[in-house]
Amino acid sequence: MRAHPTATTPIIEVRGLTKQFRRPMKEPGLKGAVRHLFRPRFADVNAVEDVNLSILPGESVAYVGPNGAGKSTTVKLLTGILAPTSGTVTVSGLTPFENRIENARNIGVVFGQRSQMWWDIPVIESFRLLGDIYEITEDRFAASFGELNDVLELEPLLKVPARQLSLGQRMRCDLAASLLHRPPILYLDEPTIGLDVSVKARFRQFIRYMHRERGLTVMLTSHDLGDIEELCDRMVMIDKGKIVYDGALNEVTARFGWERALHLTLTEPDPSAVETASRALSMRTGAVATQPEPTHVTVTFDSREDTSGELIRDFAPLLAVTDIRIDEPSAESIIRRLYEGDLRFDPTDSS
Amino acid sequence: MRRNARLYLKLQLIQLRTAVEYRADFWIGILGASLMHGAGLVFVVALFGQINEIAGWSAWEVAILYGLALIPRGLTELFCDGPWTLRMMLNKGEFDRVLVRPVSPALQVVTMLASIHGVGQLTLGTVAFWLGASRSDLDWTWWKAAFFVAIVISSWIMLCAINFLVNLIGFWEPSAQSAIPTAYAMLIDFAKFPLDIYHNAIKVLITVVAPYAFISYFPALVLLDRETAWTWLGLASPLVTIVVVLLTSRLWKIGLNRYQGVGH
Amino acid sequence: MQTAIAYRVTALFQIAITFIWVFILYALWDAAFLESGAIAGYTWDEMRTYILIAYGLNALVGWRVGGQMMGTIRTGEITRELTRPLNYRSTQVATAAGLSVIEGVIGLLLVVILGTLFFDVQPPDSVRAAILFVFAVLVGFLIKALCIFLVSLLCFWTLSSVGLMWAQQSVISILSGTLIPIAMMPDWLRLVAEVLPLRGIVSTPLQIYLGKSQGWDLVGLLALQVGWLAVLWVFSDWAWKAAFNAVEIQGG
Repeated sequence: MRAHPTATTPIIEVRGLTKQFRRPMKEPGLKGAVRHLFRPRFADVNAVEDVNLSILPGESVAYVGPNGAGKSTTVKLLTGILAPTSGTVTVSGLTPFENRIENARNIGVVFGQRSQMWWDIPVIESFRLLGDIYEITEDRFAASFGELNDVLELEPLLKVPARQLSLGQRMRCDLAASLLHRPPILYLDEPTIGLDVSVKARFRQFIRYMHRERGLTVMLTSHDLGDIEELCDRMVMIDKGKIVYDGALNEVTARFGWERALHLTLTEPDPSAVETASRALSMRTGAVATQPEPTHVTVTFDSREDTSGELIRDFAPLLAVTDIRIDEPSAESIIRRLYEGDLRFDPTDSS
Repeated sequence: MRRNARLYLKLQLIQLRTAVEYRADFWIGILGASLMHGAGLVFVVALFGQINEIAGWSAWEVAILYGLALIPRGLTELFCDGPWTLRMMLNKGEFDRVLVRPVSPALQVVTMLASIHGVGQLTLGTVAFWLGASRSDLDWTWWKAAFFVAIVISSWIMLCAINFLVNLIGFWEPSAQSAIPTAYAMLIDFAKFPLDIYHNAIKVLITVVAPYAFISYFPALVLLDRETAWTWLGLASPLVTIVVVLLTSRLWKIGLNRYQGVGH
Repeated sequence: MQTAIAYRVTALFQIAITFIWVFILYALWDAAFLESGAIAGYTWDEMRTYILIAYGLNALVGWRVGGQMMGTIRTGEITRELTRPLNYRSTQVATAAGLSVIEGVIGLLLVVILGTLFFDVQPPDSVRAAILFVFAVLVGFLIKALCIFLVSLLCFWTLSSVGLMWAQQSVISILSGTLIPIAMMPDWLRLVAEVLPLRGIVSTPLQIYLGKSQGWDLVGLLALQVGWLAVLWVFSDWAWKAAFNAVEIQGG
């Protein structure tokens, strides 16, 4: 699933991008509302701060972060919906906000749960309208729609108005609609919310297909870590408006996966085992023992400081253990910790 | 420009077709709106059953006013009612989709809705005008016929612009609760009757704040050859339309800039 | 609390919207009465009073009542209402009453204030007239609520509640005597208006208020009003049950 960039010039280039919003500072309740009416106070909030990003054609990038971190703001800045406060954004050589219409011709966007189909007309007519809107010639339309129709199996849906489709069916139509004009870039904003497992699988299959066959550049924001792991080879993490990580997905585990857990199963129930373990670990900072059950002790530790071998040697003489299990870190757990605000960064680590 | 016109026609026709397809709703919508304006006409008929004229205007002359007000209103509802969906779009976050398409956002907003019940207004207005014109002492000349057509078109454009104008409030206050746009739009009812009867405050309201008088009253003065100090304003109606369009276009840009966070 | 205020402001605006026609009517009748002192037995004083109070009476049952009734059917919420051991028609009327107290009273107060300050509204013809007026208003309120209820039942078959609202509002505004007193209607319309229950909403109370109806005539008016209320009360109960059985619930 590695991208094979056919060029070395980035198709998306972002330098020093900052977006500031003025948030009204209103106290709750009636008093606050009245006070705000007469003496409004605002706070300037940086939704996105000094972001640098370079995406080569054909790359598939996951854009990840907790709610309010600045993900949607970034996507809106890239698609020309919002104007930057400072910094530059260049997409296919254009500034999205200044050249909104031209830029729109080069991009496809899928907003999760917000369909772009016209509600009351048969789906095929929505596609025809889009053909008009994007000024797609007859033969290009035939080729493009033909392929999308095939791959996404839209034939049975074509005569049905979008109103009557299920969420999954609408998503297939939206995917086709976003790529009808064969844009080189596709933005996916929380595309799989509310979709069931089988639809998600088809969705991922389709994106992988387009990515592979057409060299589509993909930028995905999603809370679904399965989406990210299957579709992207690069991950950018954003937190509180700043980029905190930008690199290959499989290096995330190397960088942040230092937290490990050791699970010990005891030969017989021993309520005091956790105290014994804690005493044994007292010389090791960062290692914490818990006892979720009388026969089970869990030790979480920092693998940069201690190895599992060292810890096992610490316990061996003191606890009667029948089984040991070591948890491997996964990108999923790491990202979850990022969302929970639990991820610690070294400032020197950020790329 | 031509591409925009073609796109507009395509999108608007789809909306109209959709509206017609909801059969029961189609007829009820037409019935409801027709009854609303029809009630006013019934009132006028009853009123003039009791008296001969109001402030020097006969029943037929009032019918002319009614017609001049309803015809462009019907046209606007059929072809330019989309702006009424703006607030809901902003509320639901569907406006982003508009900005991500290679088409002018204004055009997309306009074609979001076709109020098919405008047919009722159009018919009612045409009938009212026709009756009024034929039964009053309106002397038709070629010039007046051209004037009539020009006024209908100018009024239509003004009402379309006003539709946009009043709904722009959505960029500042997207919660769809405010009834200000509807209130402003309903002021047109004042223009169905001769301005002479109103208190000065209302006269000013309908001329300056909500210039509906330029749709019906002043043009009627011209058509009926009434020589008053204000008759020339009937000829100025298209100018007022231009002013309203310019104002709307400016505010639209300001609202759009605000949405897109320009200047922050 | 803030949403409550927002709601109030909206309610105020919606009242202001319908008030537009009060201004129009006032201006029209003002001009009309310049020509003659009395029209169809009404003087300018009486007409002014008529316009304003008619408006106030209509405001008692406003937009929200109809919208709420139709909404219950449209969203399928009616099924939940039906699980309660209460009569659906009665609960809807009770809800209307509740909404009226909140919103309709605002309209009424507006009428009173504006009436005394600007419109120079006349007081009731006599104390007895005033008392009977209040009674007639209450009966009229129920009649309007039931009529709107019956119209709302059409929501079982159509999605267009706005169209229904417009239709119902305009028919009521004519046939209740709000836009023009029944006495002034052309014969064909007057016959219809005198027969239908809608006159009980505005016309009957106002006849009493202005003292235009006395003695047996008055008794007859009230009897007709109450009689219609009884008919509507029973009919509406039958109607909603029939509608419910005939049709699948929307929004399920």
